[in-house]
Amino acid sequence: MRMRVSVVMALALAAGLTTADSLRAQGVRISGTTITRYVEVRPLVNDSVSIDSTSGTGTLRQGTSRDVAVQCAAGALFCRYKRTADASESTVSLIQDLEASVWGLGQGIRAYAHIRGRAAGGATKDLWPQADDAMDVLDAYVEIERWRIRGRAGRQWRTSGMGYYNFDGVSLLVRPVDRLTVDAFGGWSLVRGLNESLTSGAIAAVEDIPPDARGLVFGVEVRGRPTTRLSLAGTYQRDIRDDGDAFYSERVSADADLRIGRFAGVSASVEADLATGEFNEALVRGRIPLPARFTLTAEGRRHVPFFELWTIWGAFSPVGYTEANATVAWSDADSRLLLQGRGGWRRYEETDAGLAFLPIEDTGWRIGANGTWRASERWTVFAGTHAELGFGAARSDADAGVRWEPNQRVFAGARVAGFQTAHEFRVGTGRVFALGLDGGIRLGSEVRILGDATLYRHDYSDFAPSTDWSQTRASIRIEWTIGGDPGMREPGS
Amino acid sequence: MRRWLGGTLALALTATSAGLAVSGSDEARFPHIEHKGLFPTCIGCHAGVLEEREIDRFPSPQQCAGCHDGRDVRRVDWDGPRPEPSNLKFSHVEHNREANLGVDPALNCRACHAQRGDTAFMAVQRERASLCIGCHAHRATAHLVDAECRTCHVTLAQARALSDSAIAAFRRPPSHDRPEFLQAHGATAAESQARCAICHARESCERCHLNSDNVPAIAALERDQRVMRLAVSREGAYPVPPSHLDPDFHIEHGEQARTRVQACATCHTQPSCRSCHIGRGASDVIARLQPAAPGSRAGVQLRGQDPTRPPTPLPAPDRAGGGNGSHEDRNLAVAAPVPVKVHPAGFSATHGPAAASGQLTCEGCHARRFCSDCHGGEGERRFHPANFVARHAPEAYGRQRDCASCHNTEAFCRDCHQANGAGATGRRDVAFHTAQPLWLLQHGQAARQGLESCASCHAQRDCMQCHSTLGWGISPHGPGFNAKRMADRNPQTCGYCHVGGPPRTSP
Repeated sequence: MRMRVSVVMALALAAGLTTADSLRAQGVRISGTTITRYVEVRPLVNDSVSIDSTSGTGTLRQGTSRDVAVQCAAGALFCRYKRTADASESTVSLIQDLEASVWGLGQGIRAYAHIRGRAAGGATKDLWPQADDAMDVLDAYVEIERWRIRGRAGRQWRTSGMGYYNFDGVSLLVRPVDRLTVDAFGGWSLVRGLNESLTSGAIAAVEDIPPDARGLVFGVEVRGRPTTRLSLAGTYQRDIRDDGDAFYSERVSADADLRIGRFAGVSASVEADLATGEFNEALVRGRIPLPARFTLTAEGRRHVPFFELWTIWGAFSPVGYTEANATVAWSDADSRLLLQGRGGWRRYEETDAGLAFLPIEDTGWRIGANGTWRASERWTVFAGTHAELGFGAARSDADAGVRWEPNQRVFAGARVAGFQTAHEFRVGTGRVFALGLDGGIRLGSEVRILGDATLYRHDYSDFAPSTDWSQTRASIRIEWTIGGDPGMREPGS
Repeated sequence: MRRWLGGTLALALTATSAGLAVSGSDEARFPHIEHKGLFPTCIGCHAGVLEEREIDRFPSPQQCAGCHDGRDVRRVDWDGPRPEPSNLKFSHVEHNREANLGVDPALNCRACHAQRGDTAFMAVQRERASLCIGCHAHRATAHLVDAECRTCHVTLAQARALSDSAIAAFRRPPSHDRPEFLQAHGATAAESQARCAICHARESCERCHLNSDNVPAIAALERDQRVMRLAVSREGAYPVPPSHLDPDFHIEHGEQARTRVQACATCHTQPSCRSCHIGRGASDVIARLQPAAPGSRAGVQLRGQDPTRPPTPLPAPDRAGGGNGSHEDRNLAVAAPVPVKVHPAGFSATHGPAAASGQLTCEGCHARRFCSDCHGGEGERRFHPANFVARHAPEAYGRQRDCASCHNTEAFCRDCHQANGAGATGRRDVAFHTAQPLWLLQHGQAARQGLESCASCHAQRDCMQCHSTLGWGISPHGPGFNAKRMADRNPQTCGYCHVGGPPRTSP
């Protein structure tokens, strides 16, 4: 089904382009990006030892033949554990994006499509997410924009305070007065991030209780700018089963942004799930310039996970956390040196679960700093470090690099990185060190080739089973465009 | 302009002489003072002057030969000065009439042509511009400064006899060399377009002004082939307006462009804007600028420029000489869009409210694909640090970012976790959470704090083994769980765990 929909969409696009080619007066612009990556890992595998080869009692014991923690089920003769596989597995992924915009079909009419092809080769193709999904249609719609109205029909994504959603349907945006837009939309909803319908099989491949009905999404968004410095938006969105029996979600969001003076500003957003009555996101962020070219950004945030109602997760009463973040940035007079420091702290709400004498971490903090120094017109040096500790996992890392850009056509860079991760819920620590090179060259005005290669060395122990990231990763990206821009005549025309 | 106007006048005065004027070389050919006893009046020789007749503005060779016959007086070779092109507007007839009418009785030939300090008859010299200014009220004290040029000069279009070189030799008035002139000349030109027309044709302005058709003061000028030939070798000069030096200009300029796009159109064509505005948001404004076309003037080009860095003001020598601006890049063939840093550091992670509220018209600068490259999940790598797949656990647990805005938690995360062995398989003895010996007693707290992370490995049935009426019947609901509210919206979800339908009362 997924494939069928994609093919239909692709054929529609091809037909559109063919038609476009036959019309002399119109313009076509096609952009493509080809990305190929090499990935190699030693995945985790299940293994077992005889219960006689363990020390300790209870469910969790120490393996004696291999220095690992093992889990022994009651009455079992063997205890299980996870370890890194002996052999590495690799894959080469290929992603091909094609974007086409066709205009000149009539006043204010254009067609737009963005298609992604996907393939993976090598011994373990499954290493690349969604490798079996050969093609996605991210966008494919026809648009008409005249006077104060814009209409779109087809597959389209939209962004709002709720994030990024796509659907197959229509949207109608009206500007009744200047600085006010009303955007109504509706159609068949798609799985976020997958560009597939809920029943397409994408979910069923990983979830044995997948949704059994497609979703119909509709909503309205109002955006206004009472002044040039203040903008407000509100969105209501409902996603229901296409048989009308139930909701998949019902949400509202509101966003505001106020610029104060030349550099200060306040922004706020609220996002609520009407099905659970929870505010999934409440955020206030302020930015204020300080003396001596410092800038302070402070943020207060409350986050509660959101789940659509085709899953049972929302019924597990997930709790949220309250977080405070702050960033201080400084730059020199001519912005050659930019420095930034940031920190954050969060606390989770009471979960009413677990045991008081066996608590897990319910706070978290993060801290980091980074800087960029444009040493000359050609050389840029950057470095950053970050540490984060929370429930579930912790990490510290550092990155540094240099970039040489002699002109607009060419750049080359080198970077080093090191990071360490620690996982609370399983014994797993590892340090990864990396050394990488990257570069790019522009061939003409519309073709660019970029590449990078990085060598990673993962230092870990058997007692800390973790995916081995010792590897050489490389990628090549080719970007090209044919056709012109609206408003720019083609050479020779 | 001073030099230009001055040149005009000097050239005109030198070249035309208009009958009574005599240059130094003319004076050598015909020393008036030596003939003072022979001619009682000026019009005896210059009869045509007062009636604007060219033929007898000067004495003919035959008149000279009447005395210079080679017997009593040596012969002379005299054919009179040749009329030369000029843009002077001077009427001897008018001046003479005014003198005769008594408007200004002193306005006789000597008033303009007498040598300074010499009252002798026929002690004459070429007229001087200062003499004109002495009578014709000038707002300033000298020629070539602000004045009503039309009093003495015809427009360039009317002075058709002037050659290219003569026009090129026009001296610039001092006002044109002032630093603020380029910024301010528009208002001046609009007020007194006729004054500009004395030295300028439409092509003079079109050298820089890309929207000349839409500027009335320019459109009112006539076209002139001579100026076109002179202008073709001189490129436009584009000073940076003070507004562009505002650090926030890259944010504020949209509003300014909407209200007065013709000001932008002076220097910019559509490709200027399309250097950054590759999306559609500002298309209605950009479309009001000139499009780019091979062979046409491109104006200020911004490709490769960083809009957050104010452009370098055009150096004064460039302004005067009309050279390229330092922020200009005419090499359209190779210039290509370069990513620019308009937003504050870290904006990629904090842009949500600004974008969602409409404070920023993202589509004004970004192509639609710019969003889907990240939100589409696996496009260009630019949001996360290198090898984020190995680093992502803390962020994923903490949900500092909304992972679901780009990745599907079920398919994307679980797919990968299963492929590399971290994903759940439904077994409860696989020893993954080995750091917590009593994980079973702790997992509830962990799940409520980070349920999205649980779902990135576990399918729903993993949990339903215990948390359903089919399993151990352990309720996963928290104290504040509003079963009715959820059941009203989707009773099927309840049915996954509550076989036979949701319970009648909230647990």
